[in-house]
Amino acid sequence: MSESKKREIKVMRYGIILAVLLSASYFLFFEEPIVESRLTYTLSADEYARYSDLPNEVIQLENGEAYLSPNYESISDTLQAKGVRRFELKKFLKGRGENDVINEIYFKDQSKLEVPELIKELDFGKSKPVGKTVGIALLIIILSLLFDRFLNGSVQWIK
Amino acid sequence: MSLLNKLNIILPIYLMIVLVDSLLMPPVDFISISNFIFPFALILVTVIYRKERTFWIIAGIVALNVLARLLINYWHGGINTQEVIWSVRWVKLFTVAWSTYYVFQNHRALISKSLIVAFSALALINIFQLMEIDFFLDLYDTGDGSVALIRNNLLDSRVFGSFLNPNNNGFVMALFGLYFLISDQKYKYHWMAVAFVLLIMTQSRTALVAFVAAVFLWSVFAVFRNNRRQLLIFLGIGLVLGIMLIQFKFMNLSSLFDGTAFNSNSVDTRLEMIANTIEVNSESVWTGQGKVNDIPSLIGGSIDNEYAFVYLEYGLIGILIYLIMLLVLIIGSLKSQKGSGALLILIIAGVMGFTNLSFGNLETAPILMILFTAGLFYPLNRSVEKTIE
Repeated sequence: MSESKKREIKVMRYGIILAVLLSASYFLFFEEPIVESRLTYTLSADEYARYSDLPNEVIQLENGEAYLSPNYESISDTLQAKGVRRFELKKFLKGRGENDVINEIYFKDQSKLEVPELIKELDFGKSKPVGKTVGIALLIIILSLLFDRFLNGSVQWIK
Repeated sequence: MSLLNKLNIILPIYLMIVLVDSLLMPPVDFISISNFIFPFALILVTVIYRKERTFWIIAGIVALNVLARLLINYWHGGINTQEVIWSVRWVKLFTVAWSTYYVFQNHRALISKSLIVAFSALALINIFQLMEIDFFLDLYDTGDGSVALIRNNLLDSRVFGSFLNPNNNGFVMALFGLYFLISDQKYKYHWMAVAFVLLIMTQSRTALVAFVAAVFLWSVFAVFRNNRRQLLIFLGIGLVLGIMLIQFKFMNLSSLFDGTAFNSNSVDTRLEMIANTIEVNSESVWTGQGKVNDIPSLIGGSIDNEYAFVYLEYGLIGILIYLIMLLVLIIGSLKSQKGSGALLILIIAGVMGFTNLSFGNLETAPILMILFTAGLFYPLNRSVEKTIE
């Protein structure tokens, strides 16, 4: 195996090792888990119109952060005939935060609405976002691939 | 060196500008310097390939396509400048393809390395967006809320790169992934893996399905016939994909596997738009509506389907010419190298066409033509791994 071939292999090998180590460290030690749940609210058909256009919102809490996203599609309209309507909030919580506090901020403070009756909370478990972890890994791999080309002197552009 | 040989340098320059326009410029508008060089590039490729029968066959089909579109527009109340430009874009794609062909024939190292550099730059834009670096989010912000979603969503949102939406980004990643797979680039599997991971991060369902379909076909040609090591690599990638989908909650992609994607608002809306298109064209089945400037007001929403789009504007005549063009491209890709990788690029474009625009997409069509033409130079059933270094 030639000297240049040995160097080529090392650039990528060290690059991949570095990418795995750094991205895994970031994922394990710095990326915070997000708890995902769905909150189902009920209210009368008369009130529903005021709640049917709630925004996606990030709420800063004392010990965390919550992202709330309303979901109207998956809730059946069969109760409408009885004068009852329902909607969901997808809740993504980083850190800690009580529903009462989140509801107070989301409905009362930001949308100037009364907090509707919460009838169900479904837990969808914990997970971590991977965007930054993937970003770190790919950045190192791309730079390794580019460095490999330059270090191995293959910069002849026009045949 | 003759004057023609000296002038030929325009073609690589034209191609570089098209690459920069297509992959790196913010999606603000479609006016670019490449449009000013395009007529010169067209004249040059015509002079260079004037004795090639294939050149004139494809030129004839492109001319037929443009002429039919202009006549249909004329039929529907006259032609304006916008309609001429819209129809002439096929000539631009033709020029991009033949310029790529010329550069691949004569400066292969240049185009191979340019594609690497252009892809690297696009990948870096995506990577910096994943890392939520404000400059790269704001620079490519399309104003439709994608940036707010990335910033606010605590779990992973859909990365859009330098394009108007994540689906276009996923489409281009799928094209590059396939290009690396069939190419003779050094470390091609590493490059392909980068494109594939970024495709996952766009969470474009159709791009993923298109990519998997094309890789499956490639495996039929290449892996089972020649190389078990490659099969193991792809099984490994499949495993990683499965773990990512389950563990990291890519909602948009996971919906492909639990069936909700096929019973979703997204699919229902697209089917409704196709039904509306058929209804709108019920009295002009053959000639469609001509160039439509405001599709939502005509059919009630965005069309998001290449074939319905062609049918809406140019009716069955447009579809017929479109199919002839596809047939010629398929025959060309099968004849080249006794079966070239370009066929896989076409499969990706074909599948993407069901939920997005492919050839009709101003953002992605030039890069589609460049990678299709590049694919003509690589055999589909490469048995020995080679690199260009």
